[in-house]
Amino acid sequence: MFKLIVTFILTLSYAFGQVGNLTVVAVGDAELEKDILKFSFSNELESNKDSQKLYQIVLDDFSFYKHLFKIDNDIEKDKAKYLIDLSITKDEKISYKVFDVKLKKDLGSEVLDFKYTNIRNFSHDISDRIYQQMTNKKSIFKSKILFITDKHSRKDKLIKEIYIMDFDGAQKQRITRLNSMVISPSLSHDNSKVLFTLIEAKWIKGRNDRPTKVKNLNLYMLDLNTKKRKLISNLNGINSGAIFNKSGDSIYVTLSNLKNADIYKMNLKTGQKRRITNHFLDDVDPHINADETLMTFLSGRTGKAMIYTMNPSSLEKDVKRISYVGRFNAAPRFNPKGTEIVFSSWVDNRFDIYRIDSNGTNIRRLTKNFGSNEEPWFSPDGEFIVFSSQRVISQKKAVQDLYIMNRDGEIIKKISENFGKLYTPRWSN
Amino acid sequence: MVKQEDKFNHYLASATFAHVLIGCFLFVGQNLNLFSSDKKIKFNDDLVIVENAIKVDVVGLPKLTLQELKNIDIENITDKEPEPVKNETPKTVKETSDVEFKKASKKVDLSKLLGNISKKKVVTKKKKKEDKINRKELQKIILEGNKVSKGSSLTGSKIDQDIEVFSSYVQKIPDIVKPYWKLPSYLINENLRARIRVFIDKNGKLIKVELFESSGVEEFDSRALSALKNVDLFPVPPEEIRSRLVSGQVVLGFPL
Repeated sequence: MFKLIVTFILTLSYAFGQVGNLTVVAVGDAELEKDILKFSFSNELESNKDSQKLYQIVLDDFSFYKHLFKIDNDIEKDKAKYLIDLSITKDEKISYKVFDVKLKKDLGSEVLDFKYTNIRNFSHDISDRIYQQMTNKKSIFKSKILFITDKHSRKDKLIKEIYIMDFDGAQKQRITRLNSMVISPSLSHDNSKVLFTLIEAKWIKGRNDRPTKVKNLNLYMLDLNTKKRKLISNLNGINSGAIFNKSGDSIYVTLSNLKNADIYKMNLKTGQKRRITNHFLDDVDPHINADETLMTFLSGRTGKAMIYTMNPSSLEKDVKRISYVGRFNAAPRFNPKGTEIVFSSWVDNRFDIYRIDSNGTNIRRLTKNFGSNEEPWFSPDGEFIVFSSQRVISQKKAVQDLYIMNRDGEIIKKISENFGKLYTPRWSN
Repeated sequence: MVKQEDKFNHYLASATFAHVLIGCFLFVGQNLNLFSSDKKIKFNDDLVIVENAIKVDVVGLPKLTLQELKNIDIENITDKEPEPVKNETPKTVKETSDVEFKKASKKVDLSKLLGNISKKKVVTKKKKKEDKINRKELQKIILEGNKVSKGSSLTGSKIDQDIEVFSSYVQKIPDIVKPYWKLPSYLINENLRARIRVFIDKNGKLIKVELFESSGVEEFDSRALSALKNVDLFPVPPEEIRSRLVSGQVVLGFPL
């Protein structure tokens, strides 16, 4: 009797187990299809050279986003995704209209006076308006890049000064005239102030209490509107690698007055300092995410310069090593969302740029066989990375220029030429 | 004494009976998922989900750039499928195999590459040339050390022999569909999912597609459907699983 019941139950359960007869196979994530842009341009002010320039600048601007858009002005209208009509009329008006073909919807249009003080700025503004109508996001078209060049050096003296230029490399403007060595600049989030370190001479008590001249790295802040310069910190040793927090009331800075370099947060108004790292080996080069919950920095605490993350809210909180390889790593920088970090690493006798998720996973190489690439910095929309690239020409000569690549390492454009050696590009916000 | 022994035997018998009953109840219950609090598990029992497991070995900084990896995906395509049965005109066969050649395998599969080399003796002159390329690529990959490769394990339950043949067949499908599976920027981050039931005949031809689970967005569904329609030939299925394919037992998940 029991045997019967058990056999019955077994048969029943087996029958139920065989119910599954559909198999779901995951195809995986789709590839991004580039949106096709079709521009049309009509110009009733052809005698005005600037009116012709404008269209070319707009096209050049959009070509930066070639990983998202494909510009095809010869395609049939219904095959494009966006139609962009741009026209300049006799009465000195400029108008644009953005139409979404797939959604059959006008995304936006505007009529503006064709009046400007600078045709490049005016054109970038038009590009940005069009881009925002299409994507509801800010473009890079009105952004600027801060950098340092040694072009003013004399034979007997190396001079490094700060410049700023448009994101596409045009309109270079000199920011500092210190005839000295300026290093590690950084822009505030409202783009109005620059922190930088100046290498200056300092008299200290040397052997037998004799005054001795040494080099000291002093931190200054320059207001770009008032052109006023203010000393922030001149403690003995390094006062460098400073960056602003988002509100601009505090900075994160590397100081070495207590023997070895550590990272501090400093209130700009009160001058109050709070120590963030504490290790007998150097911790330098901090960068923070927007809400200051995560800081990435470079530390020699394992003997080699490696990249770490931590919570900067208190001393040595949640320190996590995220790079394990490379003879030397440098300049870790967050993307604007704080989800990824780019850095350069010394491999095969040169620096190359890598991107890694902020939790230390998904490392990807971005540059290779392209000179020695350093100092990466994300664009404000996170789509691009600007970096410096050095090419050795002879034993005595090398060039160093700035390039822009997209976040996947596709080189978009070289944005400097014959302007001395360029260092430490910083993209404005 | 006798009475006590009887009593003992009686209790022993009823205790044994009760134990057996509880045991049976638990056994049946487990099979019927009576104790399962998660309804999804019950659902998964009906649908076997097959996904490619991704294995990543990080032994150092990657040697290849992201751009190179993208290009290698296109360059390094090898024909791992047996030649389609030649009951069609040779021209069409060639065309379709070309398509697979260019686009089918998105990621480099080491085991498949190795498999190809072992097949070397059978192949024609043209094939030998391709094997050379494969070897080069293989060497490259071995030198690189770290690289994202497709793992061979399957997720899902009930893998018996037949299912293994079936699974290894359906595992090839994503690679064939993926080159045509594209979304515009405004749909790609919307977290949508559509499932499509496919009916494949004995020659590997797609005879019918059926929207099994809509994403709720018409364009998303039609993009998934058109990705399938662009594939005109799947690999020829092994005989033992043909009936399952013809009767539409495969549901493709876009993306899951």
